[in-house]
Amino acid sequence: MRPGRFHRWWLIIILLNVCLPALAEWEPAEIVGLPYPPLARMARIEGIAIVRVSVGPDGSVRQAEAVSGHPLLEKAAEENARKWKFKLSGRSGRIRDPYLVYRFVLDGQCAAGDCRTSCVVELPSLIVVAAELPEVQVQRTEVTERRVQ
Amino acid sequence: MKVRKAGIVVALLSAHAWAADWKPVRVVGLVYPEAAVIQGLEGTVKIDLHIANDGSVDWVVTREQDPMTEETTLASAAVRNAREWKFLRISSGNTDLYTLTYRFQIRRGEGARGPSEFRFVMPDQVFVTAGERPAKPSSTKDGR
Repeated sequence: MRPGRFHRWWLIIILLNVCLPALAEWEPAEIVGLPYPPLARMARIEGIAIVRVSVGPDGSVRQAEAVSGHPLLEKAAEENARKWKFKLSGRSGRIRDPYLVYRFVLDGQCAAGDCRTSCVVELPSLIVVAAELPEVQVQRTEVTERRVQ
Repeated sequence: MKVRKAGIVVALLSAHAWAADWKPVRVVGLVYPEAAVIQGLEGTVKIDLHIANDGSVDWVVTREQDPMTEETTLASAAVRNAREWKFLRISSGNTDLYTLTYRFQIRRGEGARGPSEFRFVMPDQVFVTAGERPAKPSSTKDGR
């Protein structure tokens, strides 16, 4: 192998090492689930809450502040975000505050007292919280449907 | 030749940084099975997940479990939960297996009452806790 050619290879490897993780970012290290906020479910509030998280040097959440969303959802999302932990990916560069996006969805029906809520985290930053609606409200909608017919 | 050696060292180091083959991209929460809370069942379950090429879980197998979780709702709840996860390949390694460790624990004592809590600690530790509850004859139904 000619020395010049190998030199180029060496340069590419170094560049890959330096450039790939150039942007340091906070990555979730500990994820905590959350139930659908009971009040929001009763009021049939759905939607998205976005939380801006500021992370301390040890990876724990120093502050979590909702930047958009319904107040009831914002509160649940902020409380949940404070329980998370983060770790730094990448080794240099500017560090950005992570955002967490919470999507609250009401879907399906359930017998009173046996309502399922599920929480799915799509890494790195989307949390989908789904819940079933209690039967009482379902019955009510059935009645209105019948009236319409 | 010095240059070449340095190059090889750097290449090896960079390969080492991504030693794990898969990383989770979809983490699915798990609720402590109501029946297990009432019976006071706790324990640890280790589950091997086999990951398909698209990152979904195609089969799971219980590798290790405490005697207490045997034949109970805990092991089957963990198996059902593990099937819903999704993974992303981060290196072309040689293993498609990923092991998750589920720890089910009941919080006892004053102020321990409360709903089930789910915590996932990267890369493979799942903690599910629930507040202690006295057995009630009326609520024998398994809350999902």
